[in-house]
Amino acid sequence: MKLHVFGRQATEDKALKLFYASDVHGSGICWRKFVGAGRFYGADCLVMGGDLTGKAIVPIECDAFDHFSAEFLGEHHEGSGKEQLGSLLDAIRYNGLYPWVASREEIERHRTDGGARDALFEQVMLEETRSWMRLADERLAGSGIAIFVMAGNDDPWTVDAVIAQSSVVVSCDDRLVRVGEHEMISCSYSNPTPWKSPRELDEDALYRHLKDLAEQIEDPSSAIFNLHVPPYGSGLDMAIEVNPLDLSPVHKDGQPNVIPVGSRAVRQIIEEYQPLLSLHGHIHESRADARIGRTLAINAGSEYNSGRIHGVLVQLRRDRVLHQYVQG
Amino acid sequence: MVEEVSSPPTTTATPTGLFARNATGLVRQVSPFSAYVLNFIGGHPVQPLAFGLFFAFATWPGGNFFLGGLLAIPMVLAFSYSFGLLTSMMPRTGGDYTLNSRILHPTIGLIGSFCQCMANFMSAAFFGRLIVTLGLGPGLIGIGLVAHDQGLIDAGNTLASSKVWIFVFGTLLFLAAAGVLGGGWGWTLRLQNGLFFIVTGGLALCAIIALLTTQSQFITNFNNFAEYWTKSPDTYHQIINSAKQNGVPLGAGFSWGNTIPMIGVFATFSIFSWFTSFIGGEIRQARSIKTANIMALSGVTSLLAILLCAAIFLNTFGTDFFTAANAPNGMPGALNTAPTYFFLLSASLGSVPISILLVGLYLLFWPMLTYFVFLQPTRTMFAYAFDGILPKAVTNISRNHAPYVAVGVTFVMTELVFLWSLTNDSIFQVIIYATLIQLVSMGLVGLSALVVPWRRPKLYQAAATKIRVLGVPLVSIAGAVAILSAAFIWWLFFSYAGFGLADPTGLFIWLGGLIVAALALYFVARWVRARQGVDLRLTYAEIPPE
Repeated sequence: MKLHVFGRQATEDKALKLFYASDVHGSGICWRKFVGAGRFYGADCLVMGGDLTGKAIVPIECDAFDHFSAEFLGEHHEGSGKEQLGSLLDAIRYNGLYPWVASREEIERHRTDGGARDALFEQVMLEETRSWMRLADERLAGSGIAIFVMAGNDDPWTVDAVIAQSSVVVSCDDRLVRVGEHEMISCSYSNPTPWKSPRELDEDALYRHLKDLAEQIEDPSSAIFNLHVPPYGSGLDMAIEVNPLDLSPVHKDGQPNVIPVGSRAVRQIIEEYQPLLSLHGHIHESRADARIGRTLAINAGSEYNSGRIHGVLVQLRRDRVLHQYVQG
Repeated sequence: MVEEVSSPPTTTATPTGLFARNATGLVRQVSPFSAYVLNFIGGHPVQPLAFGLFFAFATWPGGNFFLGGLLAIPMVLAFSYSFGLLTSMMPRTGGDYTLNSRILHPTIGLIGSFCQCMANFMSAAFFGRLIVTLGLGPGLIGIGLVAHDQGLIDAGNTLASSKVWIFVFGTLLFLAAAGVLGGGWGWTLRLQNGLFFIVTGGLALCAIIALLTTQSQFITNFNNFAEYWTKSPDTYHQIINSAKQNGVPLGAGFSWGNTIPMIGVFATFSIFSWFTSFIGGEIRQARSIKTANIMALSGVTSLLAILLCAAIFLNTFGTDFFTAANAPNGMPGALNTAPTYFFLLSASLGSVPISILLVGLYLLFWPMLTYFVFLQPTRTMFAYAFDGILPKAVTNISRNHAPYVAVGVTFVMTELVFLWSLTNDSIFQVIIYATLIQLVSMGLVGLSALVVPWRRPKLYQAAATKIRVLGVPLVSIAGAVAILSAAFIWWLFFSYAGFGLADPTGLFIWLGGLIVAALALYFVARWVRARQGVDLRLTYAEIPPE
């Protein structure tokens, strides 16, 4: 089987320096920082672990006289003129939300028409993702810095085609690629969540899917797993239990109940193949690392709405790995 | 072929005006109520009302106690909004360390957080002494006095005067505080809130008893109680007369000059309502103004609760009597215990079971307060380790997700400072050092708040808490007032001997040592990490987005 070879070749003397981040969720500033991380940190390659698209649109009602108003982060905002509107648009984007300027009638129509709203989401998410890919093409072409991007469980399937259209970004989901001298498999699926997000598989199906991918690896001992969802019970997957019926937190003795929510399939596949490194996202609040056998598993965490990209710098040698958390 | 279990994405129009789609969400653990409780603990009225507040009457006669309390409110608000608004911009673990290191400089963050850690180790050491000298000892004496049990009185005196017993019970207190943090965050919050309800309920019970007791009833009851020990039919007025003879000024007219230190007295209890800054990433709606408002609400309500309870107790006990009793050697030798509100109420009621109940409820305050000061070093050590300043092992957690290494290090450090404090004859010198050292860290956060709109303009512009007052950023106003407040309290301690700063040289030695240690840790960590191929400076650096 012929492998796609990207990135600089690691040598005995020089480790491969990889920057990993995940779950930027529509934050344009985090994406720009991700693209700039290669030069800034001197990384050989960039890996984005999924969940590129934002979760919400902030409708901004604008009238014919350039007066606008919007509800944003619990506050009412209003003003007039391009400068004030631009300031609000920047603040919304900074927080990982999509601004949408429209008339009162248009907003009301989208509020009541689910189909129109779905189409609007599709439109803004794909437009934003296209602009992100263009930015990567402009900034990284000829730089020698490899960039690997996959979607995550929260991303619609249509995003994959947009990623694939980029001239420099390697769409790495659901395939084996080579990162320097390391093989890497990637998977955007998660185990089932209460939110019923676009890419979910039950644990058995997820295991079979991962197994098919892992079987393609020639040398698991130096391989990288880029799996969106973290392994179950690893400390990388602690989150508050949520009632699947109404998405409210489950309480025990008056306090929210924190439980492991990672994937048992992911854990099993790591235990079986023991790659050198396993990279994860998905649970933003569970930034942590753990050893599963010889494998170093890392969840870089995410605070995409703070304008700082949470990532991890990893130095990989054939059988050794060193990591450093950064908030760029 | 894969078996998908989800449906295609669907969207909703939320009541808040957003259009949202199905996507995994982050649910934060700490509720606004738990955040309120945590911030309230540092200024909980039990501490100042039981000791530490009423000495001010005799020390600064004519100082208006209530005016002093009200004038401390701007300081409470300044620190609350400095920490709160910055935390809402950067809701992460680590409090002042994270804020200062990202806004000012990593070394500033380390210096400030070293001061913060040491202040909390010292505070815990202080509490380790007080739980015996102003808790168990006087508690046993008080129960013994009410029960006419000389054995309990002797036991109380032995405890309060023995460094061995102070060490033993202080260590048990630290173990209890570590235990609160040692069962995972859910366990911690349950215990925190449970202790809060019990301790606050105990105080409320005392306030109700006092409200239902007129001053004349109290005088009669107290004299009846005391006569057994003092052989005097009017011990109440004897205490007042004796204080007058000893030069304690009672009934002095209003003095503005002596009201000023009253502000400082309240400030030392009430300006610490921002501890949720250390768990910023775990608070629900952390990015909203609620984060700062909860801090402010905790600080102001705890201060007002102190004033309200003080007014009730002073009304029942009589200001002259309470001032005289709280003056040095104010209580007669036969009633050799601290004139705490719960002792006086127990004496008034003459009920042994109520005396035991009130002492017991009061004693539970100490593990709650010690847990409060243990929280900061454990969270700061986590932040250090994530930044590579400390080894990763510091972030090790147990099966129930308790940060046992960080808690263990905090326990050991507290024990060491506790041992040092036992060599210091004046226990109050320890807490004075702690207060002044902590103010350095708080002043640095004020500086971060002052400059954040210019040092981190994008962060500020995008914040939901970007509020301006007369065109000036609220966070900068809060920061400026916080710096002035920190400087003002330092000035008070150096200007008014009544605060008891006996050894300023020792304070500066501690402070200098902390600065040197912080710088040493930073540069040693940088050197060690560089040898491993890691550039520590990258941890703090922000990637230019353009």
